[in-house]
Amino acid sequence: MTVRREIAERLADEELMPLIGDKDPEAFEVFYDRHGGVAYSLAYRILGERSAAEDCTQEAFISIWRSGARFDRTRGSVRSWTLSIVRNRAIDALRSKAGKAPKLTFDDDAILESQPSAELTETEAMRHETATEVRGAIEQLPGDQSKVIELAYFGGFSQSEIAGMLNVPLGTVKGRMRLGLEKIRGQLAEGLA
Amino acid sequence: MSDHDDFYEDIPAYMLGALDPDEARALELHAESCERCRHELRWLTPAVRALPDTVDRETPSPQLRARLMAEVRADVAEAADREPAAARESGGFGEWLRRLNLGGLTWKPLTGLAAIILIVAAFAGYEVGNSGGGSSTPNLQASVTKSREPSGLVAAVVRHGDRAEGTRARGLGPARRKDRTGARPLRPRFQRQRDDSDRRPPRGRKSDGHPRAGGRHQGADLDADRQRSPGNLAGENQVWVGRREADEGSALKCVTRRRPTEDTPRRRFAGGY
Repeated sequence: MTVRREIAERLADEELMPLIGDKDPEAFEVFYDRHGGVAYSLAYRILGERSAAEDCTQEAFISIWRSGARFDRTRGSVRSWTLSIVRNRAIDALRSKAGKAPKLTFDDDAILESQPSAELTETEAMRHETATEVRGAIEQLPGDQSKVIELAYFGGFSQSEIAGMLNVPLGTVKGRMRLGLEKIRGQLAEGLA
Repeated sequence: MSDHDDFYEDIPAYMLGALDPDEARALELHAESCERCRHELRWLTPAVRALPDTVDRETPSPQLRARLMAEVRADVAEAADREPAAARESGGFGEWLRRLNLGGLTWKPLTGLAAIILIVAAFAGYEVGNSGGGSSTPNLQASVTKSREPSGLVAAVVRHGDRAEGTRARGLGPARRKDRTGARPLRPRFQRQRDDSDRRPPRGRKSDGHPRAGGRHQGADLDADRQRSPGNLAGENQVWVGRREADEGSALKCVTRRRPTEDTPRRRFAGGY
């Protein structure tokens, strides 16, 4: 039995997951419409190619569909869970490309530009606000701190590899990562206060 | 530096996915028993989860959505096709037999054995039924069957000939109400029929030929009427009408008697209780 799309649209992500687990295509369609855009954007940011990003996004969503949407709400939101799946697949795809280096701009401005959406739901507006805060926090980071975060999260490099790439001690990379994340976290906490 | 300090330093790299798998597993194991590390993980989680929001928003092509949903709907259709097939495979007597654990035996020899048992049982029953000729009480050699039909008048059509099949008809008293089957109930005032075969040929009025006609003689002291079936002037079919008394709704016994001195069996139905 499938729910009608207009009903599925009114459900929260956590309520959609059991329906997707029951193989409801309408629920899955709503789920994709909510998170497909940011998932594709993340995949494109990591892979740097549209076709590869689409393939990665499709594989990630199909894996969610076929795995029965094994979502554990104790480990975060549906959105973060979905994006972690997309990121892992994109990093795997990046590493499997033999002889092809990951696309890394090393240009902080690339992730600091904000593109306002035409129409935002309340949830999206909050998300947009959070994204703006994070962008602002990263904008204020020293370049060496934002760089190690980007290399790790979007490039899929290990801290040892980053240390080798930047020719700095491993402890320095660890310290920069911690300082960068602490600042972002602090900025988010201020925004929520 | 202690192990804890090492793990604690690695937490940002762990959250950014920058640890080797072995290092990540070791940190997870440590965090299970380290509240300080768990607290640090919880604290930094929002910062890492916000990182995807910092990327430029790109719009995927409509073809991606179309391909994805086509694959999803194909999965649904395939599952729908599999369900009836699975139901067919899981159901049915044949499947039940196949699932029986017979210690390596198959069910086909068992069906043959069951057929042999049935044949032997039928033959034995036939022999037992015919062995009444040597009995001192031949008239009581009978099979008794309980019935839940209400008391009243019953009749049997006995065909004298190559086949001895009885057709049973119920005599009816005046109708008071109909039972579930639509048949009118019998009145309970009939006299009990005696199991005395010497009373034959039975006394009493002859009915008008219809088995039900006997039922109108309520309270009569005659307990059986023998009459010819109107449709068989040659006398090959006979209608035996017996009465019984019993409480309404009580069970009846159907007694089939066999007279060894006659070449064909007669059947009659006698009231039980």
